[in-house]
Amino acid sequence: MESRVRSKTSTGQFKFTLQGEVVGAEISAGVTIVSQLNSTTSYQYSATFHITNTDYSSQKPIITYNLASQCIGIQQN
Amino acid sequence: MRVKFLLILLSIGFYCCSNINQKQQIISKRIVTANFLAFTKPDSSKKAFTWEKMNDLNVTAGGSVVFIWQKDSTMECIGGRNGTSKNYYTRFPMSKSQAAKVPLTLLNDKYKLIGVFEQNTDKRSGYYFAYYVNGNNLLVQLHETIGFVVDVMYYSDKPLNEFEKAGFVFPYKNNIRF
Repeated sequence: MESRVRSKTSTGQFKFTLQGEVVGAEISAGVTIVSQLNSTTSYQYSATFHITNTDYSSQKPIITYNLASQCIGIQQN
Repeated sequence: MRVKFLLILLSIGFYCCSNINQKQQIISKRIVTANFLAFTKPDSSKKAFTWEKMNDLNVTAGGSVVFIWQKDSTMECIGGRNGTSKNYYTRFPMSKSQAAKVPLTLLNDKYKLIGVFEQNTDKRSGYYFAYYVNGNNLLVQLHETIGFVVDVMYYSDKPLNEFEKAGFVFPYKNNIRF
């Protein structure tokens, strides 16, 4: 789970790490924060890794692996 | 004769393909100076971005905003009072599957893609900026992982929003699944 704050400035630029700043705060000469958006992302991973070795001399090792991942981002307005 | 004809067709095809790749590259230095800026608000009920009024940057931000694209695929954005706010960007080399998600042109081929950029201070944060230019008008799309547009902005030297006038709709999703 990861949450971010995205601040939009009056010059149309974005600041991604401005946590704790308020809308209307002046961050440099003439540049103020116009709006802020919060977004969260949740990550889910699961992985299985399996190796079966029967005979090194005559057969190649058998390797099986499965990976499932999910990543969902939600923007809160 | 037929073989020659085929060869010519093939060469035309290759030429067209190479042209598409070249369109995303910056060939010469380019400068856009904007005096007006329009923000959008994402509307999850309409599933689209809605335009706000155009702001006069000389009033709200203390001066115009200048975008400079260099030949070496870097970008500079200067704004604020007396140009005190400076931000630096670098062009992000997209893969084929990523490039397919970013349209090369917008609004009946009027606006052409300059490239997709990352801010130097926030590299690998997952935020990418796509810039579309038509003369002194600039459309910026903010992507959160290429393909998901989370913000749209319009810069211009005139207080007229061409996208709002044409009724161009930018679709919006607030639930992003990868």
